Amino acid sequence: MATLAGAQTTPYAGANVWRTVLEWLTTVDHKKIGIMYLWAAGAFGLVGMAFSLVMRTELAQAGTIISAETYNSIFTMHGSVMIFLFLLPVGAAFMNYSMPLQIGALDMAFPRINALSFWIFLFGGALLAMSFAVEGGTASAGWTAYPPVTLDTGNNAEPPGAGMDMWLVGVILLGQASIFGSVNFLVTIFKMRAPGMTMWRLPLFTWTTLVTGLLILLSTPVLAAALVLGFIDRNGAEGAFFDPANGGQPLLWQNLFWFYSHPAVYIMILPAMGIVSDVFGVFTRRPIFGYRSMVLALVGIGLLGFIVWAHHMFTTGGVFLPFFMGATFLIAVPTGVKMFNWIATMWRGSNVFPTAMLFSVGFLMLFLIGGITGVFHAAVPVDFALHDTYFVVGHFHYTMSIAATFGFLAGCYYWFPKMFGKFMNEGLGKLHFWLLFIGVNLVFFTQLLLGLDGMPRRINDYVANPGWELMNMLITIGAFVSAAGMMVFLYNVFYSLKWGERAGSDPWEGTTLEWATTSPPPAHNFDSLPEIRSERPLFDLRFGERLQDDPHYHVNNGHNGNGHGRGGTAQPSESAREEG
Amino acid sequence: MAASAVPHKRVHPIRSFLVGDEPMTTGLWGIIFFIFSEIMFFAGLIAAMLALHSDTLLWEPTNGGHRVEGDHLLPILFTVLLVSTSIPMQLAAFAIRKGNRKAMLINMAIVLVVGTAFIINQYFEWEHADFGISDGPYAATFYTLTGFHGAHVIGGLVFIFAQWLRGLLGHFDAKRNTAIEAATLYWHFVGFVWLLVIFPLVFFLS
Amino acid sequence: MRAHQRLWRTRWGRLTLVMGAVALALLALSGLAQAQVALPEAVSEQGDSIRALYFLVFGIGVAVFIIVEAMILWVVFRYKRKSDDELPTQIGHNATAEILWTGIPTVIVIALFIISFFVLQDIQAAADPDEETVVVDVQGRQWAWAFNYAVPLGTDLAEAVSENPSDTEIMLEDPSLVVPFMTLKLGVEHMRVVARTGDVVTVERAVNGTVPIRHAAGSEVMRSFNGTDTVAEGRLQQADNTPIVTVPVGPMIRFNIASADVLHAFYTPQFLTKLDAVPGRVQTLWVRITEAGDFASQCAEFCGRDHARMIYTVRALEPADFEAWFADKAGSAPEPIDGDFGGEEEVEQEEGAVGNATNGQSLFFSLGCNVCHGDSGEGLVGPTIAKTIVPLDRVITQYREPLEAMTAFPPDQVSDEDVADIYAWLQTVPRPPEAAVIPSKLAELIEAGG
Repeated sequence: MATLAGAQTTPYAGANVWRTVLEWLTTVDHKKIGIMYLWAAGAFGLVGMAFSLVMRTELAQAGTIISAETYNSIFTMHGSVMIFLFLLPVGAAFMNYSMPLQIGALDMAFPRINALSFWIFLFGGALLAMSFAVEGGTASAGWTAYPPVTLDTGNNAEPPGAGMDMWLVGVILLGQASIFGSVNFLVTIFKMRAPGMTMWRLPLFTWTTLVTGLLILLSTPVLAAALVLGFIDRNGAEGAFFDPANGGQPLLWQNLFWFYSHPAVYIMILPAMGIVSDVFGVFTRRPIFGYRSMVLALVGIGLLGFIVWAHHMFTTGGVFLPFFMGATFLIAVPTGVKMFNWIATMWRGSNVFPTAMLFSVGFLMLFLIGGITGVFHAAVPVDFALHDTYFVVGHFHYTMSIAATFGFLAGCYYWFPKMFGKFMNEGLGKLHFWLLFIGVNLVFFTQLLLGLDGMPRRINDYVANPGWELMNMLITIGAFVSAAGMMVFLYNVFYSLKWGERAGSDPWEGTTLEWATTSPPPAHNFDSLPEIRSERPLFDLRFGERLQDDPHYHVNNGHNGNGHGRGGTAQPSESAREEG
Repeated sequence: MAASAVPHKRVHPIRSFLVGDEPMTTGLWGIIFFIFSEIMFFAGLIAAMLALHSDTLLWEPTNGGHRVEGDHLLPILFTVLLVSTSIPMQLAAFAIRKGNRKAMLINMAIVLVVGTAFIINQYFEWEHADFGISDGPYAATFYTLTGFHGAHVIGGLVFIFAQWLRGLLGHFDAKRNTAIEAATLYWHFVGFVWLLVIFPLVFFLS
Repeated sequence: MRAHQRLWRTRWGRLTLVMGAVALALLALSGLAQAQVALPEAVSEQGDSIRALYFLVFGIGVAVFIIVEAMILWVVFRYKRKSDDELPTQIGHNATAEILWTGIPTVIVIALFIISFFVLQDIQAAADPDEETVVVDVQGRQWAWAFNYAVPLGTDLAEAVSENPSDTEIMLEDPSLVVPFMTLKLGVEHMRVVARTGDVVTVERAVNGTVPIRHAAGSEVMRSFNGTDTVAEGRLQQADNTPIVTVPVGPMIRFNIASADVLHAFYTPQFLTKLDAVPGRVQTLWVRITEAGDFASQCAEFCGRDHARMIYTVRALEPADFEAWFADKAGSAPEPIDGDFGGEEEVEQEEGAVGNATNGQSLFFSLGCNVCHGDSGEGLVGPTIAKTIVPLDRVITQYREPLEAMTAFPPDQVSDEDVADIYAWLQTVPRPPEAAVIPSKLAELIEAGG
């Protein structure tokens, strides 16, 4: 371990490159696995963005440039890559990297299963990528893959080829990686906390990891069931599950699929919410307002997430509308609570605005629009008008795609110094922020308007009319502006890795335990831990003295309980490796 | 062991029965969470079966074959046998908690033999079915549910067999027995998901 | 010091400036896009209700947006760190505020739920049982739309309608209008005609008032297109050769929506509503149109390669125009076929034809031959095949190894006997004189003697 720790501090300057490569390929260190998730997901994200640029180029004007088959394949892979290979694993990357540090653990509960998760994820991603090479191309029925258009049974005019099977198997693998990961996160949080780190002292990012883990654990297997049935339907059952020609039901897929995929929206957005919560806590020097109500809102969102799946199916005519409408409306309440708590955290704060904070504020603004447009969809009659138009595309991009991405970018700027010991360049960061913020609003706000005007989604060409052509052109321009922003980010990453300003162990005056160790941390994470008396132990260490007489200061008024955390830093791995 | 430094709290009798009085290891927590995910997987498959059953005109095998009925001797016998192997499996766990490796090995051997017999019987059920997997929703769910359950039984058997070999080599004692406890919990899950859900649905839903 | 700089110095001034800038930017954006921030003007009663609800949600949404956005900008611009050792208040909760911002949204969403619930009831309400309705059977398929009209029969046509749903025989006074596969509406019930023997019509009673829609009668516009039909001068366009569904202004229209293959969705933006066409189900969409005009529409659920080209037009006509149009169309509907159907009576067969014409007719529609060849073989995209002169064995070969763009039908799907049945039926249907176009390859084959 000691030699690994030595290599860790200079990961890019190893004399022996092959040794370093081998070390990364065989690592079970949660930090390295987290960083590998980040690189892999980032690369997939760039691929997904390239797909979106192809789509936007095609749609910029009426008429076609690429064939309908190619377009369908591209939009399917854009959705699949962005969701399964970018948003979900980026969340997993930060959860891997930061959560064990935040609870003062030595590593994950099951380090080797953690590595296994990563490699299964990569293999699943490779399978999706390879489907470009097979005859018939990739899956091309959207990331939702509604049968019967995915099936090769009699009534489908253009049955997809082997790419569809590879998609199904690939997503099963990605789901399995998620499930293993979630078990790991949950056990780590429950069993590996440092002494003093009670549940009510967990940083909010760790809380979101916990709720996300539970959502993954309970919803992903249902997706696996749907995918397995889909695979059997294509390879043997001849539509007995999903094609009415052989007794199946198309809506059955949608029910199973959304039972996972609605919680999946929260699986993507909750970690981003956790990141911005932590960022607000640090850069305002204020406690997160309503810490407990934040946790309860998280749990509430998680629970409601399991009973609203059918709001994706309002226009199918096959669901009980009032129940799902009511449950969907209710989600506005916990989300609203979170929004107000974040604002109240900044209220009367001692706020500074480095790039991480800018992205967090951007998150609030984007998520606000996403949340409000969600209420439009919750009202079933309005959804009848807006479903499957560009309004829904704008809505879900505002929430789970762009807001989540802003949260994750905040996480990049925030944790980059911890991961690599160097700051990201602030000037480039601000350029990145403004380009991206303007770009995505141009794209997705215009999409909302386009949807109101009745343009359906998933079409590769549209009837030319002046309004649609202009709006589509604006969206395309916005997409390229956003892409330019992301190029700035990419440059910033490599620039900062090479020439970035050195960061100490705690460059932001952080509040949570990851800042109590060196940057980057040693393989064993901590040499010593401060006393943990609240959800922000480092803040207590830094300012506790000065706040001795402040009646509002958490630690003074006993609001944080005095439970005992179990596990610890000295011996957590022992029970984990007992069966070794 | 570090955990022994923590004074034992009073443990609930059910918890004590299932996983013993020792503090639960991370491995046990892991397997419990994993079993929850497995429950959701089977819940998804079973929900699919019920949905198909409730709303189709084509339930009976479309090739004119006959549904596999459970009201004759063999399916019932093997259901009883599979579920009753939970007892020797639990006895194996009890034995190793007391450090009795020999009793553990004998009980696990019983589980392995009966479990294998169950799988062989399932093979013959498939052999005797006079419909294929493409013959409508019933046929497809029959093969899917029994197939996935069978795969889980086989997985459990492989895991138990591996631990049995490790036991032969002298692994496990009263303190270090997470794998046995995990195998026991998993085996209970495999047995009960069959008894409570798959067997009644597949064999008796008309 | 300039005015805007003075304004910038006070906190409210800053807020005003920032909000103003944001509002201007948003206005510019929407102005630039020439778009309204509203749904299109509705042309149906139901659409009006949806639009009203939309404006309610929109109003609340805008209010919430302005308030929360103002709060965000306020805390961002107002509270900044002045010195490095500044420590802000550590207030971490406030019961009043938390109850307010939990309670007020709860009340708002519950109110929205109740209002939405009643609007939903309203827009999904069926027509009154005694109200005159127009029934249109909509069938989506890759990649075309079929619109068929149920001919409403006046009570004077029906002498007796049994109360018993299992009774499927109806006695009609004047059955000459009735042909197999047509949909009848009697009261609120919709029934598909299976066969007619004398004055007695055998019907299939539909479940839940819905209608199986494989029928042929009153077929209006059905185009199968492969991507070129909807494109003119390189552009996708609503054109005369895209499907048009003609409906009257005024009465309730019942769209029975179904699909022949995969998911589609019936979506007319100006109705402000859509309903999926789900294979295996027939679903009902009630619309009462309030304005005449042509309304561009298209499929809204991804259905494969040419999803984008599944465009169609809803043409709403004033009642008198609709009557005239319908009378005209009804005249061109397939003529009632001589002879009786079903039962024990043999169908009269044309000389030389072998096979069961009744079975052939049902196969013709269940296989979807009518999609390309028209409901009586008169030819649409595919060639005219009514009273075809191509010999039967050559027709069988065409089923197995088709020339031109026809789908192949292997023997396990359509047996030789089935083809003979269809062939027999095709010999019984009238051949339209104006559509005698035989594609070149087939014509050459025939001239060469098969």
